[in-house]
Amino acid sequence: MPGIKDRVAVAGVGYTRYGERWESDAEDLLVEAVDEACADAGIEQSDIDAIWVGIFYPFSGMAGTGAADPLKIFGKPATRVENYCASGMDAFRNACYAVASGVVDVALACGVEKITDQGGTGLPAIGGRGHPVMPTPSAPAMFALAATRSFHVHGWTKEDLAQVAVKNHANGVHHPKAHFRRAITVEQAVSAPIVAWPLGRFDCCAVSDGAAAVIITRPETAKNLAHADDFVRVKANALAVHTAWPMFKSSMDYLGFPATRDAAALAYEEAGVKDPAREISFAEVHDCFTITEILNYQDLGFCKEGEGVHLLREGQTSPGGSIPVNVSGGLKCFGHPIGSTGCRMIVESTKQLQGRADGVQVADATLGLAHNLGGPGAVCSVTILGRNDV
Amino acid sequence: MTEVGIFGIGAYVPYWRLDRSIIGRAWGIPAMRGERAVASADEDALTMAVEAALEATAGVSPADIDGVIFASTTAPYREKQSAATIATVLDCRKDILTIDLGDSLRGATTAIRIACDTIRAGSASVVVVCAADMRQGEPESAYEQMFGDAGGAVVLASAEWATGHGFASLPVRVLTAAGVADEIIGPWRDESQRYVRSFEAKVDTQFGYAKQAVAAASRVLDHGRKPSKAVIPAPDPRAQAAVASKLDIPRETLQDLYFDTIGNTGTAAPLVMLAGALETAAAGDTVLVVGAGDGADAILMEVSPALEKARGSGTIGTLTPKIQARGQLASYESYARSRRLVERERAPMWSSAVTYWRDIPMELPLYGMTCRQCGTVQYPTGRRCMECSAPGPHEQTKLARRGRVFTFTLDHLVLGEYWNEPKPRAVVDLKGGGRLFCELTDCDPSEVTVEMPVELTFRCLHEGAGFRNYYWKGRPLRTPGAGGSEPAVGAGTSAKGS
Repeated sequence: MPGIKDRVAVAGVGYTRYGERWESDAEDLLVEAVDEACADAGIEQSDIDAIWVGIFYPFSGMAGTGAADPLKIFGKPATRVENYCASGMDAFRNACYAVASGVVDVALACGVEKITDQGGTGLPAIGGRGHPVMPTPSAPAMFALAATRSFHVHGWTKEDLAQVAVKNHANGVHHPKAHFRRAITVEQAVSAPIVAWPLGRFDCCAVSDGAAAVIITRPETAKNLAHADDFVRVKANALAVHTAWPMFKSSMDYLGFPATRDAAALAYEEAGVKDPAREISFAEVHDCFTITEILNYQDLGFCKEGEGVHLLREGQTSPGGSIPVNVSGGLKCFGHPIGSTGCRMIVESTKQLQGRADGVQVADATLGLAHNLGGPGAVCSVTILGRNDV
Repeated sequence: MTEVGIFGIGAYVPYWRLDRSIIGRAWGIPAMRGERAVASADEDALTMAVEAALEATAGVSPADIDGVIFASTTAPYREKQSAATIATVLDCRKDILTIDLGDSLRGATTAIRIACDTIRAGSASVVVVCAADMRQGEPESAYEQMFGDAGGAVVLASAEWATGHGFASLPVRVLTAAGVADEIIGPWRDESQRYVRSFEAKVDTQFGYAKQAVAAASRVLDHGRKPSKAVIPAPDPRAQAAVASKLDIPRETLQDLYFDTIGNTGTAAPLVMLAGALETAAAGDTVLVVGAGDGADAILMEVSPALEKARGSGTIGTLTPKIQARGQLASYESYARSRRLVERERAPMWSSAVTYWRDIPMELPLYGMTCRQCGTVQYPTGRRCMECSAPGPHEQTKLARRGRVFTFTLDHLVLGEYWNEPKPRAVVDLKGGGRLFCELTDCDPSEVTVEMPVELTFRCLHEGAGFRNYYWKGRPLRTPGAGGSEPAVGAGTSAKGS
């Protein structure tokens, strides 16, 4: 497959402050993010030719109108993308492909989710779907299955998981748009109330609201926009989908996620990355739960199988380490407004590569990886972005 | 005349017990001695009957079953047959006889009489009779302490069928059966009444229960024959003693009522007690089985030498291990919650009767499939293999009901609400292949471990769309005598290592 390497540019990015945005609705959030992205790219909203919006929960909007209505962009293509928690980055993929095809000149990839309006604890229950008697585990429960198995096979402990929470919270302190900007201790993380054993409150990302937007163009167009030659190139984007029912699959080892492994392999091939641990400058990975981040290290090839905790405890994924992960604070600090998260990762990664990170800045970043995982590890989108000059 | 008898037997006692002193303390009233069995919130008369019937039919090919009769005063539906559901779970043929016998506490013994007559008439060779009850005594009443929940089942078969299937003879032969019908306002409950009411108990015991039980038993003992084991269910031990005395049956012949360990199990009592009696029965024993309620039935049986062999082949279930493997409810509140005497308002569950119906083969008799290309046993069933994507048709495969926990979690988040008591959810690798993801029930969440042996148990998951959504859950495979106690409500987050 020829792929889209270097054929698409990120020309501008924007995102809201993440958190419990009680006073805002989905329209407010989306407009806030898109306005910032347009201003960042130096374009008018009317320059946008087509929209892909990531929204997961049905109550946020049933169609492409979820973006067309707030923005009042009418008469142009607008498509809602729904692909579990990877909805945001899949909206980005669709927008990239449209631009790469030459059909669309300026595309908007965005995502929004207004979760707090639903009340309740954890993610809102999805009524009227599914199967009468097939199990309906909570999101933490689906990932807790991997934690329990990893504890059993690798001897990992809740203290190991806590290291992820402590690291990401320390990073989030510096980020003005994060939901949580407070450092925590291992003791706090370990002793927090259990949500789905062995995952406690600090092992889980919070319920937050937010939106993020990315303006995508061809590189030739990007050159003439606000960032001139300092735009970011899309080196690769790959989406891999596995089963929504891994818990019934005999070959599922629960020591990682096949969707991530497959998406990573495809993305590395497209980008020409041979040794990710050395070539990737930083990564924004899907830390919906602490266990997920550790398994991501392994699935993304940052270390070998079973060595994720080792990499973490060595500080290699902390700022200043060999491959800093979630220097933004990650989902741990931003929460996870589902449809927006994948786009927020693109926003963070773009700003890192341009040397204008809002939080912790990684020095000399040339190649960044963003990883968005959805469902019970069923859907994974991996994007590799690179500076224009390398 | 065709010889009929018992080929298999099964008994089911729910895992939880409530010490009667806890009930006494809750209400500030005197407590009776002992403890009573309490069905879990996910159990009902149908599920308990299934558990007993699965055990009783362990040595019978489902294709050989010609009838299923279910007896209960607490059947889940007023309009919809439970026997048809039970027959489907047992994986019976479609062209069989199914009957629900309701409304009378002697339904189980009546069912045995009907089954015997049906077999003798030649219209069936093998009939499963199962019974279960979870009667509700009014809070603070004596019935609340006296009642217990349980299920029982027997497989009745013709001697011809048994010998044709490699057995020398039936383990227990039915010699004769008789009954009386009589009218007295004993215990009753109409459609609008949740709790069992009763006439003055002393009058009912004397002129209702005891009179009728004696009358029926006399009819099968009329040749002066004395049973070596007497299964005489009764509302309480004193009433049982009164019947035995009238029949001149010595106390040591009387089968334990299990009043101190299980409670009065209503319709299930004759079958539960019979299972207990057969544990110690020997060839040559004569066993009297009585069932009373608006009249009474009596059945006289004789144990054959084949019982010993049948015990070894797993067709004769036992009762004692189920009495021993138990967990203690920590409080009256636990009981009140499981019986919905107090009820939290939970989010309504979604369901679809159409989807449920379409997937019955995988929901009730638990069919998975085996890929015709890679051989992977898998569940749920689908058009393509989940491992190698090979197109079907694949081979339908009956899954084993035992396995081991591959991984698990204790989930406190249930449909967007935080529950103090977590739901244990486990990925279970089944013996012989196939992997199932299910809830675990009847356990202290902190006892769940990877590699823990579990068995599947048939439960009512929820009542989404207004009907009972039955399905399977896992429970720890208990060794006799191994029990536990329920964590106090609110202790909540306990788990191994926390």
